[in-house]
Amino acid sequence: MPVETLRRIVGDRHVLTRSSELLVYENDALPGYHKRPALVVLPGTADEVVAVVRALYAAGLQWVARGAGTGLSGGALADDVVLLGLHRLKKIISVDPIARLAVVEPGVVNANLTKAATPFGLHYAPDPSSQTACTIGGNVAENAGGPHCLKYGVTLNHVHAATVVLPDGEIVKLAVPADHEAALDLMGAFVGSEGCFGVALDVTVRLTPNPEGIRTMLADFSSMDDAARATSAIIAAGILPAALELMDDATIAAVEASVYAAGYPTDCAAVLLVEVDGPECGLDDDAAAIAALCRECGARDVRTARDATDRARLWQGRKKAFGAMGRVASHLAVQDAVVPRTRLAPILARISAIGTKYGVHVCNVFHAGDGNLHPNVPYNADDPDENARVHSAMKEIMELCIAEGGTISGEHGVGFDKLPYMEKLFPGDSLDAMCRLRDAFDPLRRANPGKVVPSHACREWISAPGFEA
Amino acid sequence: MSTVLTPSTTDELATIVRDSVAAHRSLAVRGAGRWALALTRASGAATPLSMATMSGIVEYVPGDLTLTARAGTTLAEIEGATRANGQWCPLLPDPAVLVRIDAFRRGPYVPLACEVLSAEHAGALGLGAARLVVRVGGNSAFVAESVRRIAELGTIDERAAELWTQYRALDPQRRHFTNAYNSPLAARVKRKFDPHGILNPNVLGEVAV
Repeated sequence: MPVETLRRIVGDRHVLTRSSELLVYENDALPGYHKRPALVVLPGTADEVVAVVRALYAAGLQWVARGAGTGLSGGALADDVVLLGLHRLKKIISVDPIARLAVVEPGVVNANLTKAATPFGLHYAPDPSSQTACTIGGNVAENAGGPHCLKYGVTLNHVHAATVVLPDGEIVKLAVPADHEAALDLMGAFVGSEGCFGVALDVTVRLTPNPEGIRTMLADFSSMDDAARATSAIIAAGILPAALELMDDATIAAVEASVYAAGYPTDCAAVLLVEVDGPECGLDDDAAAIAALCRECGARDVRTARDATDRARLWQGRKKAFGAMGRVASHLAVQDAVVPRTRLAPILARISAIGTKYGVHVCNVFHAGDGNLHPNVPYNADDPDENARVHSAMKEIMELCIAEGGTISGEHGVGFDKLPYMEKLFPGDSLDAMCRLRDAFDPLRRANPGKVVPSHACREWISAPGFEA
Repeated sequence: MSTVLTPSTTDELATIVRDSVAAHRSLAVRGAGRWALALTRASGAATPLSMATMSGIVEYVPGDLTLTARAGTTLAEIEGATRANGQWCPLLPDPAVLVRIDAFRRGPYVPLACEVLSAEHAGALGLGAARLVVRVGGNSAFVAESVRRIAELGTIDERAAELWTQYRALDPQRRHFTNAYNSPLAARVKRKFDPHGILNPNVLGEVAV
């Protein structure tokens, strides 16, 4: 282990080896998994990152990059390999309001980028619920989404270029090809590669103009089925809200009992949080049409946020819902399946039945407009029986979503948690193609080993010298 | 002049690709033939493989905002199918142009929730897209309306013009980017998927087989 080499690069205090220090890095935001890294190295500059990656390459060591550790798929877990923490690289290098671009280091916190762009009437559109903590580097690795990605697109649509150090220490500059440019979209390949292709040293992102007007509405329903039907009705009517979020009664109860209480009605079965934005002209028409559709689908009440403070309160409840569930139990199982919007109602009914079958408490809070489900189960992982029931329920829920034409991740990534479902979703040829792409970036599998694609599915890896199943 | 290969099914396409690999025959894949740069670079020895006959909308679910189309489907066909539901597919700013979906490039309007959701591929090579699923955006957004005005009236709206400046601003740096043709990383990716250099030789700068 080149501990001394790493200490020379980043300084003594930025190489962590003591058990009490490593404990902090055993988890990401999914508390069900614990993997202890062999050591943690925390570079503070791009040059230090490059030097660390080259030192690890020379020493033949594997490593895992980590931003703020807010991921929900176990993607940043380092199982007895080096953990490369990037949260010290938090410089916003430039904001160009004319080109609407910003260049940032990977450790910049998502919400801080928007804060820096605000004086120019701009913001960074992807807004994961963890945006006050998660980093742009982590967002790029996971192709993070967020409530407003329904209209504005996910991280992929907002990253323009990046400087990347590959696992062998080579530095490359990637960019989205211009129209009619004869080039591979390697930037597109890198976004969402879950830390398997290298480390971004800087990222050039698009900034989006703040909308002229915003209307935020809360519709409450007596049944989940009605809320799901309203979701489909809004989309089918040709209205594209900025956000369209659904929360069920269990989630509402957790939120309203917490410090994040948003004033959601606690006697309903579900609420839809709907936001439209854009030029003021026509915005009220869209809002009225949405309210009418919700009422046609059985909404008891539809109210519009009175002002910015009221709007922020409504959003706080949604964005902190996962945190609020921390009051219910010590652990939280989180899924991230995406299903066809038109199948939302029957799938939610089936998920509820699965929860009943296994005696677990499913809380639904999700991006309904995208069909991106988050069935969450608060539980006690120290209870072996409950632990087993929760994982059986989760497995059945994921199999249901796949069978209904869905997929296993909308924004959290595959990481470690969803690895078992990859072979249920993709045929061998597709998994093999993923491995080939990974080999072009990291043929020796040094970066984020054992994640995303099941190792036994990769033909070239299996045939590689030293492969161990 | 080589005969143009015109598969009409995924199986036929897969057979053509596999046979070409076995015969070390290069293929120049094209849609409507509107990507001038690629056509200029493609080797004259390559056999043209036209996706035009693999056309048609496979599935369109307005409530899901998704549309599945075969590779040779024109954007005009998609525009025609989606207009009735107040939806559109902003892959290119001018939907009236007969550009085929397999040749689309990510345009400046993609951030408005239009993206390719998945692609099926034919044959073991993993290239030669046969079926794409695209998301169709609703038409209530201001930018969407701007694009329509550009397409139909030929005027440039202020907001849309600003979107274009993002590309111009980066142009001076573009020569340094790695994903441009002939970079080692781009060549490695190409080799991993097309080890014999069968598909679109020279378009990305490789030596033709």
